[in-house]
Amino acid sequence: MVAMADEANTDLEFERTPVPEHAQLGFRSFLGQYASEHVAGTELMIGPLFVRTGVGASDLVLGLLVGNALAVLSWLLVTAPIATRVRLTLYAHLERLCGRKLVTLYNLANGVMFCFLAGSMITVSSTAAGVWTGIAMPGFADAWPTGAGWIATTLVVGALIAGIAAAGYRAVARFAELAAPWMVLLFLAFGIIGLRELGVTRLGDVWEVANTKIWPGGEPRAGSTRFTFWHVCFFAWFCNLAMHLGMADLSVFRFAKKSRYAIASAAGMYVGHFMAWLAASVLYAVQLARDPGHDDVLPGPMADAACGVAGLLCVIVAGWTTANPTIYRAGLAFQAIVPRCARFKVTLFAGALATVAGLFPALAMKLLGFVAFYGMVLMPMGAVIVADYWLLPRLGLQRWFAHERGLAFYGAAALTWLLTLVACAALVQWGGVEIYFVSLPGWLLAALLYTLLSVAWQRRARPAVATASPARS
Amino acid sequence: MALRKVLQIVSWLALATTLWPAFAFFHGSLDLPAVKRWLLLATVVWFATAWAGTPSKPR
Repeated sequence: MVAMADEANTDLEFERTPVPEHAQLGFRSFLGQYASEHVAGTELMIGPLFVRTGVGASDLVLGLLVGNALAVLSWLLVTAPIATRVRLTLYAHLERLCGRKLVTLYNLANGVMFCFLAGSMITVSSTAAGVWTGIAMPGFADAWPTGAGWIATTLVVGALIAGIAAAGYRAVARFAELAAPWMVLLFLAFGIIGLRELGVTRLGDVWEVANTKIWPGGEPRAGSTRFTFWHVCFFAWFCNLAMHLGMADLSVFRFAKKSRYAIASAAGMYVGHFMAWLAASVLYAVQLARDPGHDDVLPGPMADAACGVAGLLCVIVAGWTTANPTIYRAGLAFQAIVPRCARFKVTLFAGALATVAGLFPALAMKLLGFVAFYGMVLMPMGAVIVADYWLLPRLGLQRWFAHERGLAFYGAAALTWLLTLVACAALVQWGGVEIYFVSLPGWLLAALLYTLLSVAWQRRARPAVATASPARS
Repeated sequence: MALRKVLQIVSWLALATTLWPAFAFFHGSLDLPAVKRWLLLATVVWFATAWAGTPSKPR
């Protein structure tokens, strides 16, 4: 446990101080949170996008089983042990590690990524609202807004989501809690109804239909990359990379009484990133079976065909309830950069940015690549936290160097982030490594680079470090 | 208190009704337009009763 020296314990949300014992939470809190947060509007895009990649049924199912298990293990063995020992938010932890100025830069990157992610959720909700307004929907190849109808619908949906995120976040959070079990069951209904539409009349037929009509395998559709078992496995593992190996969920598990409660993340993975993805794939396969030439990925019309108005409401609610906290978190990240600005205003700004991003269908249509990119950008700082916590003290180096030395900008961490991103970009651009895989070597490289750079940095500053008092046990 | 209990029971029944029409369709005992009507009804009842039956938590 960390002994925080001079910080007054008046921080009721524990944003700057470790979570005390009386505020720690039990296993069920995390089970509910993960099960509901991972049934999002974007699941309705990811399932169909898997079908477009030409992945086979066995590769998909096995890849999801293994990849999701690796994600759960990452939370369990990497994130939670540090979270329950230090009990600080990611931002407070990083500030102590690398200084205020570098955290500001990290917040900017994080906030922008959150806005783009929320933008894809707004796009998904707009495809449902568009069914009622009868507008021309974007096709898979469309990168730009497809007309005045699409722009008007998306602006209205985005403005509503942004306004509510800014003004009534807690009411929507309560609504999201109520909606979660209903959404999970409706996703299950999507899958069951879709299977029947594909000709399944008994459970024994499911696997045959999966292999012949849903994920027959073969060449990918235009604009998609061919996926194998490894693509699916790495995508499932790394689609929440920023949260586990990127350590953003330090902020969540700092409240856990035991680090083993991170096993609760399995509820999110196997409900949202297994059942929901498979169900969304089935809906897309039904659309292709009805009209093989109609291969656009539009969650609204697909859900409408299977479940009618309830399906459309599910798409809107799934997009809305997950875009809402995403925009709120983006607002918090931006507010850390401009602390004098009211949270209402920065959240509205984040919502406006997300809405503009949502106008461009390319973001949602290329969601698989964007999610991999999002994880890659934020992942190096997670590796830095892990190396700083576990490796540096074993090498006789100072943990939380910026805090100990009063630095606003710790060069070793900044250089690690920059060099890792340059190396990852080079591997993708010239090394023939696909973006879905690059974050694994990237994370290991970041841990190694940070350790080596810290040796150099701290050796240079050793006399001053030697006089610094040890602050933790 | 008793009203809240009733609302909770109705909300759980509505939640079960979210899934039942899908199984009925799978077994061929309900057509798709009827499934859609049942799902909409279950959705409305779930949100109305769950919202009214759950005490708001102080955060």
